[in-house]
Amino acid sequence: MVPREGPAPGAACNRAIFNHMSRWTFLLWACLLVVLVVPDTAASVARRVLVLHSFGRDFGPFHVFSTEFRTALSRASPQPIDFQELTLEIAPGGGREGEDALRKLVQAIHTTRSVELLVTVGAPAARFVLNNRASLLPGVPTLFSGVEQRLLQDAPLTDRDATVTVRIDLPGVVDALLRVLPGTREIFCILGSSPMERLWLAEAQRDLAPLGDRVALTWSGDMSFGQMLERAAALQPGSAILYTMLVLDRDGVPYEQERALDQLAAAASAPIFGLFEHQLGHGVVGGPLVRVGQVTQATVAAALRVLQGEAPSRVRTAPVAAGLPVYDWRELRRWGIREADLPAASEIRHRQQTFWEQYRWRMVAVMALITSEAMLIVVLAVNYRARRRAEKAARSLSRNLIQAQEQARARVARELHADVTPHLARLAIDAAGLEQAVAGPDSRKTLRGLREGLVSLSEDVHNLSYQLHPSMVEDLGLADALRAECERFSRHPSVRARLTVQGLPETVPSATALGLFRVAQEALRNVVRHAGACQVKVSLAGTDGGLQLVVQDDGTGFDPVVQARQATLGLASMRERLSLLDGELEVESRPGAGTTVLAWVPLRKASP
Amino acid sequence: MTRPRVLLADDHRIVAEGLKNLLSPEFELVGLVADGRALVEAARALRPDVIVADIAMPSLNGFEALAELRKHDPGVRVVFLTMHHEVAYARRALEGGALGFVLKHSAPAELVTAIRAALEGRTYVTPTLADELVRGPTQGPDPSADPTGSLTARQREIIQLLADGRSAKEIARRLGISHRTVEFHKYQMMDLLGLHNTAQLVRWAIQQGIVTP
Repeated sequence: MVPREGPAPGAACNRAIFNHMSRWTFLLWACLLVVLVVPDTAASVARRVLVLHSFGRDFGPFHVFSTEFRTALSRASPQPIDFQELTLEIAPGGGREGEDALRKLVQAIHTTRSVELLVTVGAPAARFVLNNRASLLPGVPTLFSGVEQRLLQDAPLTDRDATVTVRIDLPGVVDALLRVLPGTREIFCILGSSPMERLWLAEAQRDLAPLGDRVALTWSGDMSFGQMLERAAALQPGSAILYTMLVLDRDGVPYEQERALDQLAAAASAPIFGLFEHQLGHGVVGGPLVRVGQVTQATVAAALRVLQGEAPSRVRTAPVAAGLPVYDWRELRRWGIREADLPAASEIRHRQQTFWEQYRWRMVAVMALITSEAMLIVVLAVNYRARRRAEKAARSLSRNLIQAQEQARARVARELHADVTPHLARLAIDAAGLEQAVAGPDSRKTLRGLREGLVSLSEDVHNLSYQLHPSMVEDLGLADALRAECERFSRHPSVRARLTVQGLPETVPSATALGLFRVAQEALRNVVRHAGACQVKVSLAGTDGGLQLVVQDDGTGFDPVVQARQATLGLASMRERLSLLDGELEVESRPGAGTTVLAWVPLRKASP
Repeated sequence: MTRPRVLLADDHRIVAEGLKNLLSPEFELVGLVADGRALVEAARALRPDVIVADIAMPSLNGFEALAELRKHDPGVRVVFLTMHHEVAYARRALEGGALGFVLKHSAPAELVTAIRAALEGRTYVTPTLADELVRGPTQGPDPSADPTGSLTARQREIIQLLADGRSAKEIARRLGISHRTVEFHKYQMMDLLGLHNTAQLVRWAIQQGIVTP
């Protein structure tokens, strides 16, 4: 498209024509060409929109507007938009010459192709247009956007002017600041030194005058940015910073895209409050903030309406004002502001979840697991203790049982020995005396039978008494009693038992002696019953601070695993007797390889 | 001719009475006591030719009383008359210096013989026990000529582990038995082989090819 692309295609050819014709002739032809071309393509031709920035695309707060506006309008418009963008001279010394140059530039753009809508962004641009009404794009609809409503209140608006204004409520902002930080005595207000910012300074000071008695206000208008940083870093407790706008500092250094705010936040020793929502996240605590995005949307909507032919004078939207207060959670934490102190319906952003909030369910699960495991452990421990107690009780019961049994047996044995045996002996003696005295062979034979019967009965009673309570252990001591037991055992036809004794102490407690003797008896009984052995070695030795009794046979043996399952009474009673003496029992056996019973009882510990 | 003087010690009156009847025709009964301590005192006071005593008695038993008596009179002549027909008692009696050991129920026939023997300084033991006494304690057959053949499987295990340089405690842990059991087997093997320490035992086992070094 020739008109839109600027230099026409086929430039070489045109240059040739240029040589022969005057510039004016060319311009005439060009205008004719535009007139001829435009109607044909009216439906699809781009609509030229001239955007006039106050400071440039990149200065806050308008950078938010600039990045969004073109995209949003292009997307919303049924026809393509041909954007032209110009920026006012921002240097304070620009003056009239700068304005003249800009006016010419605007006119030139309009001349190449008609501007259908002029959009001004910010107050300086609006002021420029209003001041140059007569010579600037007469008849072209103008949309004044991003202007504080007060600047347009008394402006001579015409019926081709549309507006999207903003309402900056400085007293409201400071009020909200004082509400969350009631102890604030000083507010350091950041405001730059560009002409518009200076204009604003007067306006702001007038706005905030009523607060003068509550809080001291200092302004940064005559400071370089370095001085501002120093000041911000040196603020005392009870101070706050109000960041309004910083385009140029005293030295004329420009600060784009709120970079100044970031540096200020890093250095400041007091909380920073701002005016615009996009400042949130750059170190601003928050408050009632104006959303520049809302201004952009309103401007896009207004521009569309005007482009579609609506009368501009009807396109004057209500001022965009601050919404509900918004706060940055991180800043609240940093300055120790409690959420409870915020105004009602405040929104909190950038909330960082605490570890607990982030992992609550996992932690709850883990804690539940730990708790249930702990409970399980407690239950098991209680069970264990109960079992230990029961085992102890059972052991003490069986100890008492064995002791009671031993006592009962000893008593019966004593009574047999004290009453029955002597009577029998006496009867035997008398019968023998009679046997010698009487003469008749028949009587003598009868008496002999009687005597022999008495002797046999006497022996049986003695044996019974001995089984009940081996008095031999007390009479002869453990070693001799064991030897006698081995001899008694060896009366069995095919078995021989041999005792070896080694390192025996002089005295053995009677309970220990009796216990080991009983174990030996039981072991020898097992040999007779089960082993089929020929040879039994019994050894008694003082060893390891105790007494070791070993009964070793060369019989058939058994499988200890099977045996353990069957838990014969013999082994159990041996083990029980030894455990009463704090001793222990070990049985080694293999099928076909004999059995060794090893019992050990400590001597130092007095047995009950 | 005076009859030999006999002191009788038995805590069973009924038996003592019977014995009195039995002995009186031939001997002079100088006293009758019922416990060991009384026996010692009476013997010193009465100086009998022979003492006939029970073994099971209160205060001092027969053996203890005999030991006490022999301290002052090594030549005291004592015949034990007892219910105990175990040869161990007989052996202990003779070792203690008694001259006779007679079972109560064979008293009429044997007691007089035993007292007479004691008076002559000879020893009499009831014949049923005498045989066994003379034979001595029953001995099992000697260990077989080849000692290695008599090692049990457990002992072989232990000797191998000893050869590996393990301590008794380590071996016990490994075999799941007590260290005393390990020691028992070790000393039994040393005893069997006439060896005196573990090193000798291990050397022997290696020589015999029982273990590998």
